[in-house]
Amino acid sequence: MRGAAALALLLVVAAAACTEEGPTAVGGDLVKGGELRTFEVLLEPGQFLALDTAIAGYAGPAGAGYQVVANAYEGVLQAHAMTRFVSLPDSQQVVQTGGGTVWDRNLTFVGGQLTAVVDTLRSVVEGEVGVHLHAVRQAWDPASATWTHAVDSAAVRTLWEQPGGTRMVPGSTRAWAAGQDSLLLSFDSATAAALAEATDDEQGLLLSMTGGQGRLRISNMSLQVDFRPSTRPDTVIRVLVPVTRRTSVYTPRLAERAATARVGGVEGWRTFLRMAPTLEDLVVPCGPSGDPGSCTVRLGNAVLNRAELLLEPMPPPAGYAPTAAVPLTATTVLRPAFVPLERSPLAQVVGVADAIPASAFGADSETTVVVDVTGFLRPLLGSDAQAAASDWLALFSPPEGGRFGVGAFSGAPRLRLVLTVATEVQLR
Amino acid sequence: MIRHPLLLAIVMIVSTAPVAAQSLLGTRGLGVPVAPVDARGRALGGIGVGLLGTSASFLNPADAAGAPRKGVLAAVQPITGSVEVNGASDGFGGARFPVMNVLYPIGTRLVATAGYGGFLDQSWAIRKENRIVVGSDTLTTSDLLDSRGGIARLQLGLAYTVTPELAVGLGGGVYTGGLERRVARGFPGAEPPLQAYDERFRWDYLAPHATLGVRWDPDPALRLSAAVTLSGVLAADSAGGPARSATFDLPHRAVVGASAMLGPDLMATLGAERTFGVAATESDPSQEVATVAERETWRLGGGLEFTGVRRGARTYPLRLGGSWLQLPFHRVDEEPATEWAVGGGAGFRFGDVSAPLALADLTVERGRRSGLATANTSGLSESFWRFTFAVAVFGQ
Repeated sequence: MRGAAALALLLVVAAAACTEEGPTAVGGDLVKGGELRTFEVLLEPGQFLALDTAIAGYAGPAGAGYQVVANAYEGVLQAHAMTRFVSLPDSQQVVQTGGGTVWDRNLTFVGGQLTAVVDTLRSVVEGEVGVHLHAVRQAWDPASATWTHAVDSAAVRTLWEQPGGTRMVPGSTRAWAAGQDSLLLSFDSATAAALAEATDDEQGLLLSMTGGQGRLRISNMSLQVDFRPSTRPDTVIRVLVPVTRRTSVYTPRLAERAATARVGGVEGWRTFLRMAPTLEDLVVPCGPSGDPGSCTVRLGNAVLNRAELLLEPMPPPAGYAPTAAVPLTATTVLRPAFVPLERSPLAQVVGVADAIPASAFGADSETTVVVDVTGFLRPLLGSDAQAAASDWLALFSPPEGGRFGVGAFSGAPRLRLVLTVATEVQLR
Repeated sequence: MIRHPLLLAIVMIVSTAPVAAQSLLGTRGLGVPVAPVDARGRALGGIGVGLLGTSASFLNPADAAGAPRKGVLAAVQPITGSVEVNGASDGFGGARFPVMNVLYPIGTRLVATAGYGGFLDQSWAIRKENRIVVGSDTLTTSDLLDSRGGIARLQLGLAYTVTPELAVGLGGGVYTGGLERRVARGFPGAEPPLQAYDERFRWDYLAPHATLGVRWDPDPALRLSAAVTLSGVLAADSAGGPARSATFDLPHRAVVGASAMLGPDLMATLGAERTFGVAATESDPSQEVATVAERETWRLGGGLEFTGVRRGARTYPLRLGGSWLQLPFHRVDEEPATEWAVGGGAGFRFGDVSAPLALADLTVERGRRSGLATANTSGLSESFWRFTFAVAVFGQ
């Protein structure tokens, strides 16, 4: 048994001796093969993109969750906020003087009040402006109405009799100056009656702006209507009328496609980028900064440490300047057969940029927006590029339609790559 | 106790997986030579040929002649030390399994052997920290160059007892193994983070070899042994990553050893090994990296063994020895490297000391390797402690 114990002890010692030790911190100069070189490559759009285009229409003012009222903003933008409410009641239960209640079917609307909550941080107004309230006087579709069309659906297109919304005149007016977080617009019996008498397709209130220049963002709206019951004509009763649909109509409206990169906006701009199909075969310089051409490497033979899209913000079309930071996200795009690009679904988020401050879209801005797309590009540059999920990338600003302002960029992005190559590892 | 020798053999073979054993001299050529020698052989000079008594070395297949029992012998060899390169120093360490050998007598004159042992070791790892400028960024890099693997010698042999004094042996097999070189770069602290570079190059090795050996005992107290091994071309086939396949000529080798009983309990041994047939190195001035040269080398060793310490059926040998060897690989602009080691050991024999039922040995060596100096650098030196444990069990 002693022999067995000794043998076991030796085996245990032997096993313990097999512990690996870490690498030495000396001797780096001994090894010449396997030297690593990390370098940067900047690719122009024409070098790495097969196609780039920006498309709008992934959101709209009807689903934005806010409304815009503008007058000559940046010299051009006109915008009206349009709101539809539930139909005004045609009868109301009224408490009688002596107690008890009766249903009164002969109501007389005498006026009301619209309360608009203003997002002061995202509203830009020079000086004091006048905000006007009107009743709409034409059948309109809140889901598709535009500055020119009351209805602009696939099946029906109806022009406004008055661009920007056919409205009853006179309306009511209230002055608004920067900093005020709400607007209280009272209206008279004529406007109230117009609301009550309008058909379901016509009913609505419209806010417009005159005087000065600016763009207001209305984050919420509520309507209260006053009426006198026939059973108690000495009494005014106020009821809350819920909002059913909200939208904004505006002009000028941007074309649905752009040749330069855009994201965001109330109509949800997306920029689509398709990588060149033979990107891995692109030969790039890998030499030191002083002499980059002293060595070259095929992209597919280098290891990608980081890939960044570089976008240069520029002022967007007049009227569409962002008033708040613009988030930017990059996702892959699935391209099923027979599905046009504009309807191709987004897939996996591959990069998120820091929110771009609104000031970056100024004329003098020198900001460069960086989007990390390493995870997207690595499979494309790998040995099995065909296995990459997609070679399409979409840039957009979430939530789509959440901001009226558009993030615009000069041209297509450039691509910054940080790559590492090793000199050939020699066997001996 | 594991009663069946084959069971122990299987355990040891499974255990003969690559284990990191570092020597920065392994950065040169095909690595650092590893002799397939057990703890007793290491203590007695590291040649392992021509030893009176039981030995696990299979360098001379004739040495197994006369083995009375089936048995399996195996060793493990941890090493630890410090390395100094051009004035900077660090520690290193690791372990390897230098030898495993199975003896299987067939009749009274024939013994079959199956051996697996070290040949060349290419295990080392270097980490480098640096700061580099990439575009407008300054990055800290942490580079790792990690080499694991080497070439082992697998040999089947037959030893035939011609007369009680003379035996011959024949062995053949392959040099086998593999190598994985990992090159990695991380960017610690980089903001935004950068993905690491991590590439692996793999090769599989294969080459044939054949050995002819003879052992002559002109006197019961004297043993002479010699063998010649002829090696074929080593194919290093790419087995992964961007590794490029290559072939190399391996040297042939001749080994001689002798041992003599100086007294009833004192044995002395000497041995030498010489490689030959190395092709001349042709320097290619067009290459950025200096050409690796291989030279014909000597390995010399000797020692003393005292077996006078006994208790009942047990014997406790004590040993002392030293070795010196030339390392084969260096760059043409570098000074070749050498290694010396002195050591001592002790063991345990159960049963007859020349044909025990079980044995265990431990050897501790202190040594130094140095070389690779150039006209501008002081080269490399490694000081190490090398421990060799060996066990063997035999059937009835």
